Amino acid sequence: MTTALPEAALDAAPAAALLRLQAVEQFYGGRIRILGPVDLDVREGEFLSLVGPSGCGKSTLLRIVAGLLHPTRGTVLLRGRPLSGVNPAAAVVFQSFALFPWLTVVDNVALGLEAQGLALMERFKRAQKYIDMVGLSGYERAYPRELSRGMKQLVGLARALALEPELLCMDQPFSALDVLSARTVRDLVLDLWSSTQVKTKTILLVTHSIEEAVAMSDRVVVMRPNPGHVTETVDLRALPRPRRADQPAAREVIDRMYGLLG
Amino acid sequence: MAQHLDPLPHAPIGMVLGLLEHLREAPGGREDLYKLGGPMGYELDELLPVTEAAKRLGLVTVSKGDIELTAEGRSLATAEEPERKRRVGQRLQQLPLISEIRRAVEEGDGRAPRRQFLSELQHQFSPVEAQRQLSTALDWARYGEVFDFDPDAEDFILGS
Repeated sequence: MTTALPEAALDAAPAAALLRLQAVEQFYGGRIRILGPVDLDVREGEFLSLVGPSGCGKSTLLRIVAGLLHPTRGTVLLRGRPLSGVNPAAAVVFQSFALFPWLTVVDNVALGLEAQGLALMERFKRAQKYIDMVGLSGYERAYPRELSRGMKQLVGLARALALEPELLCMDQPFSALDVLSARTVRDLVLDLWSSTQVKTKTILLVTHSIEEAVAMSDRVVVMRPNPGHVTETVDLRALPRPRRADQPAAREVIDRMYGLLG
Repeated sequence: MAQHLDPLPHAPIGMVLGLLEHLREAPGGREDLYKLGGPMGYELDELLPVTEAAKRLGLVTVSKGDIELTAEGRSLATAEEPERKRRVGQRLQQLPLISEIRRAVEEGDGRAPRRQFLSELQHQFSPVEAQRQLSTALDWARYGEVFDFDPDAEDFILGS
């Protein structure tokens, strides 16, 4: 089921699907269904969030979209072509940062670029560009252990963006951060998403926070467990930005989503 | 080094910036201190170093249970990178420990050994606290691009 705020209906032509999931199901041990069947489009240029309690399959769905996990059943189409293996259009930001402790900030960011066939100088130029963009210049030589959690996640973000992916997948990127650091990183993600500097225009965010999803997204996919499934997709494009949880219109949507999950 | 230093509060610089952004959206750039805690999920002891750091940098004033952005705090909160970084760098140079290290690096041809500061700080602080003071100074200084650290030589150095 899809519901829309009234104004959103004016937006007649929906953007093309960058990624299309059709009747995707995931089984555990071959017998226990933990997710699906799920149909889902990730549209070009949108900020899409998956929200729901633990066990609803939102992170599993993200891993399927990123091509880190091959679904037991169903198909994943990237621009209409079946996806096999890691999604070449996607980069992932992990909750646990996933930085290499023995590499400096700049080496962590440059790491994935070798696989793109860039020469050494180009790799470091590209890494520096994204380090500057997330406000981490000055920390190039720092090791992850010297950084606060907020800064570590900025490195994770710079590393993903440096790949210049069409789709940025973020798996609960703010939940290991304190609230104030999370705020800085969240604002930065929104700034970068709307800026012309960044090539990545499509974002998939997995979060357990309804407030976070409503503050950031064009559309929110609400999921429930046993087995994981989509219960509703909420279109928020008519809700003006920047959004705050204490705005009446945002509050109304947030309350309704709590109702869906309650 | 100065005889007595006010210890740097151990707050990650990212949290200080988050505090400024939070206050920027509060009515009048002002908030009750107690309101910062509970609803944001903080214990007071986690928050105090952050408000103290913002205060020491001249970005907020704290009085009678209210915390309020200063003019500099407000313009820093609205600034974007790299302007924000530059402004933080200027404020940092007004902190004795950070400006001392910066001066030593400049006078030492771009290098100053960390152990020199560690031993001086130990006149005033415990060995553990002296190390924490230098870690916090480095975290802030890297953000403001005031100085950097070469872990192989264990020297403070000028940034790249």
